[in-house]
Amino acid sequence: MKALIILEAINNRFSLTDQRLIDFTTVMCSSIDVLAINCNANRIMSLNWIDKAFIFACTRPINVLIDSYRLSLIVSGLMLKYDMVLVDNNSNLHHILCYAGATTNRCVVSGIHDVIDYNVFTTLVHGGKMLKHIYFKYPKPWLMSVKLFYPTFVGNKNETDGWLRVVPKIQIINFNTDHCIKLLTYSRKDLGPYGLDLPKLTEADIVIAGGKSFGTSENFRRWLLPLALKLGAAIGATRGAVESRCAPSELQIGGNSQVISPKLYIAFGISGSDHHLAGIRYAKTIIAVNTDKDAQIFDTANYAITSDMYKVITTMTGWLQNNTIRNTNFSVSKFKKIII
Amino acid sequence: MKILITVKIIYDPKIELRQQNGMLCFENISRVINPIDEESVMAAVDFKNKNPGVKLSAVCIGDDVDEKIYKYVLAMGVDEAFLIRSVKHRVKDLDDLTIAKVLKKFIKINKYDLVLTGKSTFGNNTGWVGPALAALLGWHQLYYAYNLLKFTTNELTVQCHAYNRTITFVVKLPCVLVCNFTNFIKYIGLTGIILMLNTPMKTVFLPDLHIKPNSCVETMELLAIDKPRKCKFFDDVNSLMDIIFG
Repeated sequence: MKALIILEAINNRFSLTDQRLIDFTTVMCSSIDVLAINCNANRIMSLNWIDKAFIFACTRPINVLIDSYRLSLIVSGLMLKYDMVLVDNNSNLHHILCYAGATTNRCVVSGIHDVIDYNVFTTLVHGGKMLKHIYFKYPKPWLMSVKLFYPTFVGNKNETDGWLRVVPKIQIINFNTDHCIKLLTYSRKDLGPYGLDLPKLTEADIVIAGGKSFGTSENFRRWLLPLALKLGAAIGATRGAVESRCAPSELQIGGNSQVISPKLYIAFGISGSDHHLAGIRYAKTIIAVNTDKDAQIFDTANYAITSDMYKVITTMTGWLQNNTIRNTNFSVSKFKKIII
Repeated sequence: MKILITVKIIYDPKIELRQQNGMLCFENISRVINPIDEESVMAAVDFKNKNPGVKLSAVCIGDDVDEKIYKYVLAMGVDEAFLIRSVKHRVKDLDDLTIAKVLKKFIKINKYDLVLTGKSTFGNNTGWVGPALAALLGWHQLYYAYNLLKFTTNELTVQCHAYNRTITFVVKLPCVLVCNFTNFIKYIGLTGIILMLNTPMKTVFLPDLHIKPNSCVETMELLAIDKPRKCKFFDDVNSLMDIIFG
């Protein structure tokens, strides 16, 4: 089977999710082609497992919002040669695929995170509480918008060391950038709610989260931000915390169909309501810190500490200062040794 | 300028789902207006208050049961509300493509200038209707719109939030916006409720498009079951950190 993956390079760099998407597709298809936006021929070589790559030649970088019409038409033409077309659900390209699908009378199925059989895919709906098995009935190409959880297939790096690296064939498409949407202003980069470049919730390996027991947003930020910076973690919050204005709404987990899957998830002062637990179900390891011994979160946690969360945070920061972690990749690689 | 807002009525996301006889049981679960659509309505009402000469309408595809819930859209400040009812097929069986085609015909008949659709819904996380409408109608489209600024006869100024930046665009009407408004609080005043009781809902019957509602995908729904985890309690934080990072 042949697959087409549409990727966008931001600042001429591909993110980890792009390579994970390609790894996910290798399970189902024998040959993978990539349509790469804003990327040059050198950068394409950094992706593994590709047969053919399409890149664009144009006078200025393609902005997916302005050039969406022309891009969608190119995609809808290209995709008819393939069996499957995949896109990352969180990216701007999801809408391009929807538009291209509408022009060829096909629906896009989104949120797919796993494949069970030849034509059976699983997706999560209803805030993570419901699993849906989907079976495509229309003729190929099947259009999928994929939202992967932490990598379940690690690329077999050991096996490919001795093999000859297959160099992808590159085809260049000319792209005309006249457009009807005029760009007025382009603001400075918005550095997230705390003014710092913390990793995104859906991509981070470690996530720490707080509940509404922190009280005020000052308190929330004062305690969780230093720990997050030390661990290189993303910060999350429960719906209770967002509603009582402890945390900004972008950090909400659960209750807004935000399902995350970090390798390590630490919950401070969270009792664990249903929708929140549905959002963190796919985390690999869960640590819960709560003074209430009967909290519901302890049913889904791997490790638990029943002491005051402020003391726990201070002890954790102290430990991290004494035993410096070189970087999160190093600490995260330790998780393979934990027996759950 | 005529604005149309698409509204979807979904099962209440706060309620727990139950499994019965191997199938998910959807009876007696309350339905609500999709929260993302509510925010779109509030944002459009806000825009209308700042710019007179804007006429708002809302459209929803639903059954009789949904009428009572959908009426609140009128209380929020929308001028007209249309409820499209289907005679032959149940609404649940209609797949996204048919919905998009029905909406396209509706828009063409009533000559709207701007269509606001939501980014996603709880039941189905795609947000497919917006781009599909743009494709079927041949209009311009913009995604991640989060603030409507001003408009002239032919153009609309919109702010979108993408790539971690706020970008301002001037787009020519007619146009479809896929919206992600977050800053608008739902507010229904007493005058709103009086208006709601006075204005009738306009019911439109699904045009006979000779489309069979065979969906393009077949689905089977299951409850997502937790993997049981056995919890180990710790008293000493340092020993826990040693185990995890050590």
